[in-house]
Amino acid sequence: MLTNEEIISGCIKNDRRAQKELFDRFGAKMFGHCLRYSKSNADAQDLLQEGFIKIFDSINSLRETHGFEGWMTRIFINLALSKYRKAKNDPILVDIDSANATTDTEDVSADMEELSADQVLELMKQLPDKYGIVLNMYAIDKLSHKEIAQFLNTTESNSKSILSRARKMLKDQIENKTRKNNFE
Amino acid sequence: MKTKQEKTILNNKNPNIDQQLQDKFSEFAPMPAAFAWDQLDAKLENKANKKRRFVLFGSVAASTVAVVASSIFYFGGQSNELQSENNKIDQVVIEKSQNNKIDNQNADKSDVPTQIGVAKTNNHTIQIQSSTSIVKDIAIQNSEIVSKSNVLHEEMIANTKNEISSKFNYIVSEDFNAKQLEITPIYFGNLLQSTLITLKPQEPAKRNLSAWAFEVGYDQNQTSVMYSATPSLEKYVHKNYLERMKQSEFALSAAQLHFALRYKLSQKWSISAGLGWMQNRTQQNFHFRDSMPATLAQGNTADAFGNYPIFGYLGLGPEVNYQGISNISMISVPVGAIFDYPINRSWSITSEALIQANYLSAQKGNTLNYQLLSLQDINSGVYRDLLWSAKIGVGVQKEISNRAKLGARINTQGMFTPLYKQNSAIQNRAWSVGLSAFYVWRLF
Repeated sequence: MLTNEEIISGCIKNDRRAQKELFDRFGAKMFGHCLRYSKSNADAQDLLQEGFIKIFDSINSLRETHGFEGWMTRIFINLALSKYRKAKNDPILVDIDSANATTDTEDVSADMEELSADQVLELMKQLPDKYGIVLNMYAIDKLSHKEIAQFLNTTESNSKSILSRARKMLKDQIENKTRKNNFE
Repeated sequence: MKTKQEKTILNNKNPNIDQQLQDKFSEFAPMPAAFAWDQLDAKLENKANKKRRFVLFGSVAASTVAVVASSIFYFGGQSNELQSENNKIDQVVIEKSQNNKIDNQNADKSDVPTQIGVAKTNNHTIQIQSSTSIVKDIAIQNSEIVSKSNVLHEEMIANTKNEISSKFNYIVSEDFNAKQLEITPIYFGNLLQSTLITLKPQEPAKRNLSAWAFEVGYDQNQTSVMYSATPSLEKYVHKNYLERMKQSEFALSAAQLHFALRYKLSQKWSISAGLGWMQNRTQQNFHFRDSMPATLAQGNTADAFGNYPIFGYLGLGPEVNYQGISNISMISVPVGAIFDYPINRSWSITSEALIQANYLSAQKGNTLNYQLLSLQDINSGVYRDLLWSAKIGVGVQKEISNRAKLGARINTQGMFTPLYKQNSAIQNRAWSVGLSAFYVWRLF
């Protein structure tokens, strides 16, 4: 079994075997990221391929191998966001009322124990695009509001407001779903 | 209001939504589709092919530039060399001897520009006469350039100050590059000590040539076929399927011989119409690794092949691997405009833009039936009879005589109309890039 270092050096030489090994090793994990940032499975498949092509193209610029997975994840997120930006050229704005919305995460909690990741993902996809993206970036990928604001061409306060709304909306959806499941 | 401790206890029991989401997705790794790697592999292969093609075309272009640059350097240099050789000073020193005899010597040949090597002129005697009879006959030996037959006109210009004929102008024929022979005596006091004999270049007389010219040329191009979906049927063609079609294209060769009549509108602009014959050899490698198209679009109209639009794309089909080679011969009628921009007296940059009507005169070989994924013979039922294409080219040409020019261009050609018959769901158009060599001869 090849080590990550061997895979990377193989990929730098455009060795197809190493590229396949990389895909086999990280494909599923990266596909998870793609699914989180895409509206449909087909879009996620496309994103997965584009992301790996970009990785193979730029792998020779990789300096350190220990943060390799994080580097790949960032490529996929960047790619997903640039696609989103292309699709929606306008900067993200929220209405004035929501600008003062809370960003205190402790006030929002939901019982998602009974739900699988797929089910939660389905619920997240039902959120408006920008809500889902900000929630993904902040809550799961641990990006700061400053980074989110830069990525989405918006302000930090907007990012916070969107996040706050997204949490509440997701919480409601989770509760509805749990209630429905219990009823069934 | 909850205290910090209460909040911590609550969070431990029921952590906030961010934490829950992170936990939920930390191990989230769904398997991508089984064919995902195959598709990626095909894309990477296609990318590598494109890179190879780019390198190939780049090499062709670089070679062309190198050849053209070397030609310019060589011929330009040679031309300059000839010119400088022609312009070498020919300083024939005519010394007055005791018995009034004049000897000539070939002097330095390199210092003074715009003078021609009289030292190399043939064995003809130039008589220098003067009113005081100081100067006698001058024998110019070893002449290769100036011959008596070249001399069209001789003129003697008197130097009134010294009362001696000091300048002789020899106008020579147009073919001869040295246009004017000038002889200038050098004086020391009142005595003629020596004479410089020089030749000055003179612009050739312009002839009124016809505006009509005939061109013959040969193009050698590298071509490839581009596939696309017919806009009206696009929604039925699965993009993965189309990707595979695109990946099938391969390097081909197209040789073209053409003749054309040119009419010069101005110093720089000409129009051209001609006749060409082209043979296009195509190799297509179709490799559908994982799937084949399903054709179940009920209620749709069949396309020109009698096939229904490709409705879906199943991921269960066997591997399909075919190679098809086809030859198409075309008779073309190119019509267009030519723009020449002179660089110097003999070299110019030339560019052309042509529209071509191409009649498919012979078709032989196989191509892919895009619906059944099997090879089929090509014939007039598969490909169109008439194709429209455009060609642009840019290069250099050299005037090798008053009437003739020889040149080379890099050209690119593309088809407006697809090869497949009208209304087929998949459309294919050829595009090519290559080199042209041509010879233009001014008529009349």
